[in-house]
Amino acid sequence: MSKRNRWLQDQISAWLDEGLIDAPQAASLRLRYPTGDQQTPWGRIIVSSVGAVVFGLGIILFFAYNWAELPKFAKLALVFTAVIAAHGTGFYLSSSDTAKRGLVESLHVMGTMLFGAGIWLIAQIYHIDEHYPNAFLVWGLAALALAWAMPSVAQALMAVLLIVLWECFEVFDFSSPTYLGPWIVLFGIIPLAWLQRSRALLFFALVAFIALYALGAGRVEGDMVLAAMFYCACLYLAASRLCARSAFPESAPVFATVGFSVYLVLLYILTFHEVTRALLDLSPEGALQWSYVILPLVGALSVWLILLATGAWQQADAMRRWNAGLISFSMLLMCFELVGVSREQTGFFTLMFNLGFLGHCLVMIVAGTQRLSWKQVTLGCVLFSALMFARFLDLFDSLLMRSLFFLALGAGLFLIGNFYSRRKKLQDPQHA
Amino acid sequence: MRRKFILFCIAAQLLVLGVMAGEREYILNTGERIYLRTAPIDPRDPFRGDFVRLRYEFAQVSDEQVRGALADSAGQKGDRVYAVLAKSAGDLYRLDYISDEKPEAGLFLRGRLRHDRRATRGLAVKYGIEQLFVEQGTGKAIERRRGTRDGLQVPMEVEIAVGSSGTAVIRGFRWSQLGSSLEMLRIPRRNRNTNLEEVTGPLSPKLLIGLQNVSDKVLLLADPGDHCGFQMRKTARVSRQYRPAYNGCRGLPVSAGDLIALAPGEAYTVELDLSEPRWQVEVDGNTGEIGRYASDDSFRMVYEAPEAALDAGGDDIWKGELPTRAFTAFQLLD
Repeated sequence: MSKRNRWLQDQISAWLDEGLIDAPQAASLRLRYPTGDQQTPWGRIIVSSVGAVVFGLGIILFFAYNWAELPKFAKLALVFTAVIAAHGTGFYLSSSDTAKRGLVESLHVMGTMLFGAGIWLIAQIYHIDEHYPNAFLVWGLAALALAWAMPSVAQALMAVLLIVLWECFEVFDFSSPTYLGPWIVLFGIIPLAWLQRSRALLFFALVAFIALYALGAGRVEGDMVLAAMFYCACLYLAASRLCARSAFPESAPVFATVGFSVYLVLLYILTFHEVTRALLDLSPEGALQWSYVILPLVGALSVWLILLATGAWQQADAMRRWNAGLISFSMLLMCFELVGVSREQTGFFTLMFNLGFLGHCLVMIVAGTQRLSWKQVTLGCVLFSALMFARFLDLFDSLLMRSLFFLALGAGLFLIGNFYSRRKKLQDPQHA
Repeated sequence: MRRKFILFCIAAQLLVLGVMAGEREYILNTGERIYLRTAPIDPRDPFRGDFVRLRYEFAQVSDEQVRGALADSAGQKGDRVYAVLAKSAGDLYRLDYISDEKPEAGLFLRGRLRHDRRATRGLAVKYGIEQLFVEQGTGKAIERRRGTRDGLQVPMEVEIAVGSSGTAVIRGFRWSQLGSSLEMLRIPRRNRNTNLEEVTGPLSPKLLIGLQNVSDKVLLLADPGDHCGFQMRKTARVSRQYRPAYNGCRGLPVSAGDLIALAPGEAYTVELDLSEPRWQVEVDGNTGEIGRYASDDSFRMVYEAPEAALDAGGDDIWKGELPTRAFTAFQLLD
């Protein structure tokens, strides 16, 4: 139950006691604002799953000692028995009592953990020294299959982690990107997160997708990482507005959080002259290289167009429209950079990215002040300061200019803080 | 339907584990059992907790041992290759040649290239049997038995079972009956940039080689003539072709008096001066000591009883090859 909901429930009880409302009205209000106690017991599932994972790790370490006295077939029997026992008990309980969902889920999680342990232990028993990332792939796919079969968010989270590990080991240990990792996440995990209405799974899947996509782009052409991630972030931002009008509106903040975080970090990086120049020098060759940029770009543009066509942007408030405008502006700049505008234009592009970033900072501060959101105002100020410090190092040599710069920045932040406090006082009924 | 799907997923997990174990168990029971020697050059490799890293003598393959299309192509990292084995001595096997074409018959191991061929000289190959897992804590004892870099090194002979597809499974291991040590008694005062015309004195090192009986029975060695029990061989990383310039060992008769009996624990040591004509080589149309013509290339001294000695010593003579650690004209390697 959220804090607000708890407060509301307490208030309804108080109103009832004070006679402000009668019992049927209280019941109607409680029906209108359910406590959520009847929803999925995520806390229990998560704790049980973590317990299962830790228990599974303990078993892995126990076997990893590689007891010389333990015969080979005894070790194998232990491996198979452990997997069968964990999954078997979970399967049995799932048929007998639906109330034990957390326990069933954690038993299956333990079974999949033991399956992964089994792969390594059998490799140990037979001294197998094959291409070890394959073990993570097989383990991850097994978790993914069970995630869909049950369906299970915990199994899916395990699958995300294992697929990320697989791709990372392939790339960093063997310099051999598989290109498959992001697509497994996109088509195997994100739809499940959607169907299960799981924001946690969606968050990790979105982070995993963008990271794996960047890894693949980096292996194909190192300098393309930035552009590929940038358009992925734009796609997430566009998708967040689409999701707000979908059957799973709670997913919108998840898309927005991941997308905006990545977008702002990349936009900040783009405010540096050297980065912009490197992007202007970039010239993707062949379909594979272009696809890493084109696919998310086309995706992002399509979703933006859908939003425009359906009137979603027209209904959005002014701040959202400003943000959308700035994002579109940055996307356009990036497009021009990639299609090969002259290198002599580096200064112009750097300036434009700086203005774009500055625009976002100001929108954040203004919107935060209007909505009285201290988090938004603080974030806006921090980003604004980061931009100012970066340009301060680039532009000013004179001590006088530096002192004036600090005075101006400090005064600006002071004014914002003062303005925010005044607005908050005006809005607060006790001060009105 | 959903429960059937869950059961299917669980069954698939068990099947994966079953196939992994079953395939290896089948090879262990039906595959040909052979021994492969790990090069006595591994002590420097880190011991990682609960396994010993094995480095086979043919983990690095010279260009002359490459056949098939691979001989003319670059070869990419991860490419499948087949190492065809030939009997060496007793139940020990050595590499005959390596190819990218699967042999129709014979004993061969399946492996993959570790690196792009252009990235290194020769081929580095991984066979999937490079890790020997042992009980935690026992690995250090194996390291100690295998020896130290500057002292006696005893090769490990790994027993493997080889399936018809070339998949190999480690069954166990034993220790070679003979260990070797190598020291440089004289190191030429020079490096790669030295002008050889300005150097006075020998250009090549003088080696002290020790062969020690680490078994529990008497072994017979043969080193007739001008140390004809020893050969100097280039390592697999060296691409240039070397031939020994000395012919005095060819057809050399060996009598029972030339045999050396080594009691358990006893060592046979020899000093080999590589600046002497005995160790001169022919390379790129030149003949001379390695210090002059092969300063960048690496070699090993290999003990192997001459063929004539096998008749003189009968079954008691130690058969097989024993390479020392590698060296160049002015430093020890490995």
